[in-house]
Amino acid sequence: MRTSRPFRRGMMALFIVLLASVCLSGQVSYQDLLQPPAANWPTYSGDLTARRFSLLQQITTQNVGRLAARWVYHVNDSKRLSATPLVANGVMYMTDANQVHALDARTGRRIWYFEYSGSKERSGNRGVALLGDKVFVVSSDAHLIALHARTGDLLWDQPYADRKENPKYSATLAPLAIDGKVIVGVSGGDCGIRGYVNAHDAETGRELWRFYTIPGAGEPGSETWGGHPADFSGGATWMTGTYDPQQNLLFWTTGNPGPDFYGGNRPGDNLYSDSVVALDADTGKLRWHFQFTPHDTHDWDAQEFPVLIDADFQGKPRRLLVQANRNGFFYVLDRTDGRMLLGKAFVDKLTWAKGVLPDGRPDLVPNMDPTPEGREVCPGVVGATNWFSPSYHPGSGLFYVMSLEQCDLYKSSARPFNKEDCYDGTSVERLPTDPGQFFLRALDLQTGERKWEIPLEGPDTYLAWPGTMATAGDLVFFGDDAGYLAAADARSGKVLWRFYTGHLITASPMTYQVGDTQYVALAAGTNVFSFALFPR
Amino acid sequence: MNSRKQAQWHRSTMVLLLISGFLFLVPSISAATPEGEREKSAEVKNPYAHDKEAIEAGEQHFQGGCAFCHGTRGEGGRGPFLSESNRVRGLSDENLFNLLRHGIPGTPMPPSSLDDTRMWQLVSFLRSLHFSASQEDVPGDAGSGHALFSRAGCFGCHMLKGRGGLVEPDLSDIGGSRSLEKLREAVAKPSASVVPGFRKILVQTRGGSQLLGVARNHSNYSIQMIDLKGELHLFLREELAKLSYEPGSIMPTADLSQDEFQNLMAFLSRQVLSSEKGEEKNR
Repeated sequence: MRTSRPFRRGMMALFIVLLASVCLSGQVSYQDLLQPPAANWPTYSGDLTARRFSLLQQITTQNVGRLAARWVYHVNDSKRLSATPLVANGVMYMTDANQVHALDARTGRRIWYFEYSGSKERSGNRGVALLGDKVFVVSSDAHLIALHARTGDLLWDQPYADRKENPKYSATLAPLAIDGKVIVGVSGGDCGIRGYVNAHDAETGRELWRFYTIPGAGEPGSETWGGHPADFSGGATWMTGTYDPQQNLLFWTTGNPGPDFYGGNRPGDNLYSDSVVALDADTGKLRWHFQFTPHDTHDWDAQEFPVLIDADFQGKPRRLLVQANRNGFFYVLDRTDGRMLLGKAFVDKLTWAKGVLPDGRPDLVPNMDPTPEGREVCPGVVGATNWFSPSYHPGSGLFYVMSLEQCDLYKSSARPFNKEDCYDGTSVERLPTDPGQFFLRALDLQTGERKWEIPLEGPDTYLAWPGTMATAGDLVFFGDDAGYLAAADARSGKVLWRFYTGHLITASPMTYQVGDTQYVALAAGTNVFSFALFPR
Repeated sequence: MNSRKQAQWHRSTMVLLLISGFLFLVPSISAATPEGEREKSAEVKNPYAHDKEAIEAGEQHFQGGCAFCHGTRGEGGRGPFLSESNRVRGLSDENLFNLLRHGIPGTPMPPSSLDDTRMWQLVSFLRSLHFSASQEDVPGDAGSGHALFSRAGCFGCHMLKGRGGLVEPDLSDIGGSRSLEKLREAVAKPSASVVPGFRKILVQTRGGSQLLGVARNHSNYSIQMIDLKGELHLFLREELAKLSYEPGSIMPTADLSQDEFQNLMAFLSRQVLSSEKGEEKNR
C-alpha cells in the first residue's frame, strides 16, 4: 500500500510523541539513584546521601517571590500526611498509610491508586522507594510491597515481621532501594519489639539478610543490658537510612531502648539503641557503630537523618556522617570508622549533659533520670529536633536543621513487661510555663556554630513536624509550626517567600522539574501542594 | 480496566452482595425482639461504667499504653490533651471503644490490642477524667458568687451567655467543659497555664501606638489579636515595629476569702449550655 508523504510524516510525529510519553514513565536505574538527574527526586531524601540538596536552580533568591501554587491533590481519608513525594520522569508517587497515589507531576491528576487492604491498622507512612520499573512501599503491618511503576499493579507482597509472635511490629518508613536490594526497618520500639534492619531482593522480595539492633543473649553487646531480654528491648529502625556505594556501607539509625523513661531494669549502655550502625550492604554485618545517647532514659531516638557529606574537614578531605540528634548535640563523624570529629550543642535548652567528650560519650550531669514525681529536663521528649529532614547546601557549607527549644517534666515508674500493653516508662508532662519554640538554624558544618537562625512563632510546637530542603538556587525551603511553607536565602536566612497551607505540617518539602518548569512540593495535612514560578 | 482488575471488581461486587444480603436479614432478626430491647441494642453501653474497680484497672491500662503520649492524667504531652476534650466527651461509649480499638487513621494514635473487658475498663477511666465541674456537687452560694463575679469586674473581659467582654475565654459553658480542679486552678493561679488562643501579647505599630491583648492566632507573618478593649486587630508582621509574647495570663490573681472563692466556684460550675450534650446523655 502506498502512503502519502504527509501521512508518513504524521505517523513519524505520532511515533515520536508515543516514544516521548513512554520515556516519561521510564525506569529509574541504580545509576539514577547514585547520581539523580536534577529533574528527579527519586528517593525519600532526593538521593542516597540524605543531604536533601537539589541541583535545580530555576527558582532563585531573585525570583522566589513569584512562586505560586500550581495544583493541590487531596488525599481522601488522610489526616496528617507525613510522606515526601518522590518524582521520576514526570510521575509523582505519594503515600499515606497502606495506599500509594501516582500523579501526573505537572498537573496533580491521578494516574493510578493502590490500596493494601491486608491491614486494619493505619500508622503513618513516609513514602516509597523506586528502582527499575518498581515502586516499593511498606504497609502498616510490616509488609514490603512492590508495585509496577506504570500501573500500580501488585508485583509481590513480602511480610517481614512475625506479627503472630509479636503483633506490636509495624512499619512507617520509606524503603531505601540500592543495587538490586530494598532495605527496610520496623516501628513499634516503645511497645516491646526487637528492632532490625532487613534487606530484600528487589526482584522477588526474598529476604537476603537481617541485622538485629539489639544483640541476642551471649552476642557481643548483650553485656550492655544487664540481662534485659532482647525480644522487647526496642531499638526500632523507623526511618530510612543512607548508603555510601564506595564503602558499600548502609548507615541506619536506631530508636530508644525500652522502657523509655525507666532504665532501672536495663543497666548499661544498651547497645545498639540510640545509635547509627554501619552495615555491609551485602551481608548486613556490623562494620562499626556510634551511640549518641548511651542508656537513654528520655526517649531520644537517634532517628534523625545520618547525612553523608564529602568535604574538607579539620584540614583534610573526609567522608563524613553528620547528624543533629534529638538529644541536643550536633555530631560530625568520620564515616569510614565511626570516630567522632565534632560534637557540639545546637540548642540552648540542654540540661542533661555538659557537652560531648572526645570519645563521643556525653559528659553527663548527675540526677537527670526521670522520677515518679517528675524531673524537668531539656530537651523535651520531642527532642531538640526529630525525624523531619535537615538539609545541607555544599555551596554555603551550612547544615539546616529545625530545632526545638523546649523542656518537659519526665515521669518514670518501674513497669513489668506485659504482652498486652506497650512497654513505656510512664510519661512526660508539658510545662505550662514553657510552650517551647521552633527555630530554623543554619549550622556551620566545620564548627557547629550557628550562622543564622529564624525564630518561629507558630502555636503548635508539640504537633508540628516540619522539615527542610536546600537548592542550588541558594534557597532553603522549610515548613513551620503555623502551617506555612516558606523559602529563605540559604546564606543569610532572610525569608523571601511564604505560603499558608491551612494545615499542620508534618512532612518535608522536595523539588523536581517537568519539561522546563521547576516545581516545589510539600504534603501538608490532607493535601499535596505543588508550586512553580508564576509566568510573567 | 485490565482482566485482573475486572476479576477483583467481580469479587468485590460478590462480597458487597453477600454483605447487603446479610444486612437484609438483620431487620428480620431484630424485629423478633421486643421493641424496648431493640432500642437498647441500638447502642452498646459500657458494662463497667462508673465502676470504681474498673476505673482503677483502666488507669493501669492507660499508664501502659496511653500516658506515653497523652500524659498520666490525659493532660497531653506529645499527644493531645484528653481530660477536658470536647471531642472525647462528645463520643458515645461505643464510639470511644471503637476509636480506641482501631486508632485514628493518619495520626500517631495506634489501634489497641486490649481485650474487650480491658478496653471497657479503659473507657471507664477516660470517662472518669471527664467529670466536669457541673457534674460535681460544688458547695457554696452561687448567687453570692454571681454578685462577686459582677462586682470584681470579671464581665469586663469574660463573656457569659451574651453579656460581657471579648478579651478572655467565653464562660457560658465553663462548668460543662472544665473539671472542678482546672476551674479552681484557673481562678487561684490564672498564669499557671494559659488557654491556647489567649497568649498575652504586646505590640507596637509602626505608627507608634502600643497595644496589649491576647493573640488568638499567630505566626511569623501575621497576628490576629484582641486588645484589652475587645477590638480585633489583624496585623501583618511588617506593620509592627515591635512584638513580644508576655509571660502569664491577662487575668489578674484575685485576692479572695475562702468563702468568696467557694461561692465563685459554685457559680462558675453551674455555667453550662444545653443539656443535649453528649456528656449529659452519657451520665
